[in-house]
Amino acid sequence: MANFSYRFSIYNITEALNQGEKVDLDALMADLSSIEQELGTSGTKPSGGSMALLGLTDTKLKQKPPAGHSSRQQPVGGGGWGSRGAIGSRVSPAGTAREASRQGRPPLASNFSLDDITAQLEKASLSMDEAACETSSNPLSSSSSSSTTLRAGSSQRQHRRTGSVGTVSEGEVRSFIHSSRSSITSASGGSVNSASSMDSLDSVLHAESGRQQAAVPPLADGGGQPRSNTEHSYLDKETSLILRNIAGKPSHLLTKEEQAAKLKAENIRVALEKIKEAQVKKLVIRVHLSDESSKTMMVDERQTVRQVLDSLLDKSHCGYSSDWSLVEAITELQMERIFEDHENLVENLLNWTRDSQNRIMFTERVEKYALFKNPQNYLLGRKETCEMPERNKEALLEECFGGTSVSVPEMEGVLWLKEDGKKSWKKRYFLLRASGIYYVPKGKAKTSRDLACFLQLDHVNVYLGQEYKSKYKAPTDYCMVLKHPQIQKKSQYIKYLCCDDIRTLQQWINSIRIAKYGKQLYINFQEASRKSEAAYDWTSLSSSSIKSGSSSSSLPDSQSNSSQSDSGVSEMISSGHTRSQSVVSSVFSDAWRRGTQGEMKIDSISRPIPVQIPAPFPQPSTSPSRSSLPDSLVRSEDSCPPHLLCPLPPRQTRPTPRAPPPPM
Amino acid sequence: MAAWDLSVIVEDLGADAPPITISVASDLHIGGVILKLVEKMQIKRDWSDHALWWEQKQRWLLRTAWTLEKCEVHADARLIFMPQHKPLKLGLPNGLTLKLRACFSNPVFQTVMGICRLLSIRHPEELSLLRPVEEKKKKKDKDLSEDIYDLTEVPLSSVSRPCLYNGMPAHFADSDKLEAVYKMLSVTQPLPAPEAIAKQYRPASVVDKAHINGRWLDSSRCLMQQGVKENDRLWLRFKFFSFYDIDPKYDVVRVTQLYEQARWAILLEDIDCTEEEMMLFGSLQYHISKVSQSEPQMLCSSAALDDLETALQSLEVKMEGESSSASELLKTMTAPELNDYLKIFRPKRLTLKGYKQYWFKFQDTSISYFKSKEESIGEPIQQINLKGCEVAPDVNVAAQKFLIKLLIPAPEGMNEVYLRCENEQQYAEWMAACRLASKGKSLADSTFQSEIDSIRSFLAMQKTNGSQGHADAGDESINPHSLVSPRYHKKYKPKQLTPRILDAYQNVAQLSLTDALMRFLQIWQALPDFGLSYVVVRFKGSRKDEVLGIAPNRLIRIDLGVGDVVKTWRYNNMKQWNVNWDIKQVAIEFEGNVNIAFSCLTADCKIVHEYIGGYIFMSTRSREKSDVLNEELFHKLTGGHEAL
Repeated sequence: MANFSYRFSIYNITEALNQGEKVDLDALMADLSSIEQELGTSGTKPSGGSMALLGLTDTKLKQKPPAGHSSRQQPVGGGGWGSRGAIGSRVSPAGTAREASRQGRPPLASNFSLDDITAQLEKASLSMDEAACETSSNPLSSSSSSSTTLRAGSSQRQHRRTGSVGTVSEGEVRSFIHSSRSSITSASGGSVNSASSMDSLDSVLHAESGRQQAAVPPLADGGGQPRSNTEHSYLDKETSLILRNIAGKPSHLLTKEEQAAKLKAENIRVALEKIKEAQVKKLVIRVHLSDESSKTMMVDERQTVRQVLDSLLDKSHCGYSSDWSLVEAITELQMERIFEDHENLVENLLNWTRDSQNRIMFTERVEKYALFKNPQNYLLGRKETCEMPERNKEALLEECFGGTSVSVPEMEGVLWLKEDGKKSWKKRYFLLRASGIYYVPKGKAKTSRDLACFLQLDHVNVYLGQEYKSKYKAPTDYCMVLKHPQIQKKSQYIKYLCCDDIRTLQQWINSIRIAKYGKQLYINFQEASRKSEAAYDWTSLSSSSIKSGSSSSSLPDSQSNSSQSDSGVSEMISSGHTRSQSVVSSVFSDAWRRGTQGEMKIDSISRPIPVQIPAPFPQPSTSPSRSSLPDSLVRSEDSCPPHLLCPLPPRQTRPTPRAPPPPM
Repeated sequence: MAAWDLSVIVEDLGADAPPITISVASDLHIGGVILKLVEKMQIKRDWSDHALWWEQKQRWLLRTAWTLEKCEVHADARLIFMPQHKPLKLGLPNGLTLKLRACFSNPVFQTVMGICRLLSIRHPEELSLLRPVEEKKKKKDKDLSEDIYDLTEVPLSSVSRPCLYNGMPAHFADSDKLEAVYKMLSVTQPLPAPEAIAKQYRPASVVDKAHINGRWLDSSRCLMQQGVKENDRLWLRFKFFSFYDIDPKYDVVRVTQLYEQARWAILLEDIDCTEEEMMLFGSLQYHISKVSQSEPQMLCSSAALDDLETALQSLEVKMEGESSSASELLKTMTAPELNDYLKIFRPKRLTLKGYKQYWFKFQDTSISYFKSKEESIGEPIQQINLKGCEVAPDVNVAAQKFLIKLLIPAPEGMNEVYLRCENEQQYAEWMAACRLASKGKSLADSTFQSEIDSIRSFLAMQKTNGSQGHADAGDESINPHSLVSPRYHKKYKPKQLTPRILDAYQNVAQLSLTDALMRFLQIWQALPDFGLSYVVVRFKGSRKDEVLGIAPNRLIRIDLGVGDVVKTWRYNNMKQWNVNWDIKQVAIEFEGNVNIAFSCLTADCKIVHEYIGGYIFMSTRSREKSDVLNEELFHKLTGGHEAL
């Protein structure tokens, strides 16, 4: 079982502390907030590169240290001090162990100059040291917040304590530099895991909170001080009483005492928030760009994919198209998935195994929001691509996503299903419903009640399979995969479906996304396009300067971005990814080119001839001819005698929700 | 002008009373006629609601300023002087009957508006009246003694402006009796007995479903004109399945009745769904009935609290302080644990060994197990994190089988693990813990206890069934057959059904009443066949009957032989439609020179016309002007020849 409790270490420290000395709560809190400060400063350092960690950092590791270093075996008797020291020393072997595991791996090409990295690492370590010093010397602002409960002598202890935090993080930084440097020297291009200093800081924090928790019983048992209500809140009785009385009162009417109480409560609240903040899990990730270069950045567990994308876009100056995506590539299974904007990135990355070859890619993907740019190709259940005036698209989207419930596109048809554990693919008639994917059992009709449930969508994600023709002998290369996000290796619980053509595949994938995420998908799109529109002016102005400043030369800047309809997708995905992806994408871009042209902000000059022959395109009615009654008596059928006509509404075109009521 | 005698029957005097004759001239206006009539009767009372009904012409003389001449009333006219509002027995979506006074003189559209105002249902344009399906009286006159809720006393004037009193519209707050009516309207009905479901008429085919749509009343004509008499029975139903701006806060009655209509549509297989969906609907019904019984005041009180916004705010301040307090933080740190001996079995491993007993510890979101209690201080044999796993029950109370089936995702695939509990209590606790852990919540989560309770209550349900206790055994017991359509009564025994519903139930057990109702409606609306009203039609040039399905956004053509959708037309592409009232044919023109024409067989073409126009009307509603109902537009879109 790979998953152990993340809080494993806390409890042990608690145990240790329970037997140790009495600990002052307030001092602890002060400690915590100071650590938080430190975290804040190092976390917001502008260039993600300064945290020179590669690949996905595996937080699980600290729960699974190499043999002999289990946190259970920490010295217990020493009380708070001992346990903290134990944590500090515990993590560095973890890093080294990792290093060892790394060495056997064949080196891969990397664009990093080793010197650069070393310099960056040096810088990182400096900044960490700085941070540590800061913590130890800083008078703690939030300690005053709980000043009323401060006890004599605690301030001194507090100082010593913070000092020790500094040491811990220093030790941490060293170990982490060590491990990451070694992994760079071995030039492993895959995702390298190494313990992050943030993690270890986290664990220190956990330790702190553990101590805090341990501190409560002695206080309560102490008996000397009547502080029974500390069990419920930091506020003393008096303060909370005052607070209760003044609830809802405007601030200028408060007495001095009351204001003080309020301030106190506020300060405590802030301090607590900071504690929470400090507990936030952070990962250092490596994001691969389309040109085989990569960026390293830190994400915290609260960040959505959208937020990460935004910060990547800010940093890389590559234009703000809403197509920019974070793509999870599961190398071992040859599949990939575009993360949805609302998803939590860290949560997804934690599903990866420790020695995972998976990558996160930062590329432009037309298919991410093609669904909203050309809804007519996805929502109408049609077999052929067609054009639609913008106005109608909007109405169609509003119709599908604007209501109280989202209607799932009517997707059904014959797909190939890879049989469990076999190499053969079998044809089955599949249907998509909001409640899941169904198939028609043999000899049964297509009626709802006879359908057999293939799978429900709550626990699975839909992935794009790559080159399954050769890997799994699939009938075509247009495959999708449904699996639980945690599954990373071959398993009977992974379902493989194969479509006849790219269009069907994309329709299925997008329809499944609608069924799974519903309105959220539309909200994501709206936000993404809002952002890209807002940024567009700026990028178009400064595109030339960006080109030179961009870290990677072939990075699509705003110009190549806007001429995307020309280049197609295949160009954006660089030669490094010459797997099926580019093949699929080029086919895909052909099929979708026509559709995407409409949205391009700068129209291309040399437009390739559309692959599909357009369906008889309905003449867009030039301004809805909502004319007077005589005009409205136009008949559509000869059989209707004029006097019996009921022309309602007169030549009304598209009664969209937005359209004004037709005048009669 | 010459005076002539006009005899008027006054309905209030009784059927046998002779008509009252008054002397009128042709230039006398209707108001004058009424005045003369009242003067002659010399009965002092409020006649303001009364008006003249011209029986031969089947129309009301409502324009008091018009003269008799203009109305073409002559001496031979049989006029009846009667109230415009008369009692009507209204079958509600929840199956109960409500007696109220409805307007018999205005178009049905306005009558429905009045009824909805009385019942405090917003957006009356989505509802309409239809003639009930005749119930076959099987010599059982017991049904005649059904409870009829009476709202006829409510003075019409008081309903004009809805204001809340005690969490309900003021006109319901006058007496206990009226409060009971409001409760009936705003609280979901208890689960029906399986026999009651089985007894009701169920459409067996699309054609059967089409017949009900022939019963809708014409929205543009009044009740009197459509032959509806005083005290007649009509059904009030949601007709247009395009529900605008549902807000549980303001739509208590609307949501409740919508739920009832949806529930019955599913129970009676009016709308098809898969077995999985049926189980989910069943679990939601169970949950809703349970929650609404345990806290019947919830919906009301939430509205009542509206007035106490200040109180809420101060509460919020308090809560905020508390929730982020250190104590809570500490509490999550010292997460409570479960410790017990359980038996474990891994079906995937190729071992012949069965269940093996270990000492289990549930902490945070993980299970770890040890050889024995004594060894639990050391390293566990294994620790399993349940976050993201699937939890399924396998319980048979009668056989004392309490299994928790876990499907735990791991990089290598899913691991199957069965945990066997000894008794109900143990099972409920561990099951609740597993469910919470699968959602990433620890035992410290506030929902832990309620989760335990809901599992136990569900076990109780199985217990009553398992011990051969029938529905009559006790009123506490619930027969799972009450939750699903009769098709599944035959397919599954109650005790087979319970675990399946329980399975679906775990995903909804934590929903509040409002959320559960909304979820039910959402899933209903997400069914592929949702919102389809069927009419049997004959397309022009076709020799066979086909079915036209009218949906909120499209028309579909269904082949009766295959049952498949042959063609879909969307209103968005519609250019115009015409109705030939003589040959009862509807002709529609779509963009791209697509013309279709069909005659309607199971419903009047006015009904089809009204459906199409109605849906187009529904789509014109927008948030900005949602308060005002554009009655005129509705009439124009649906009125037909009356509108010209």
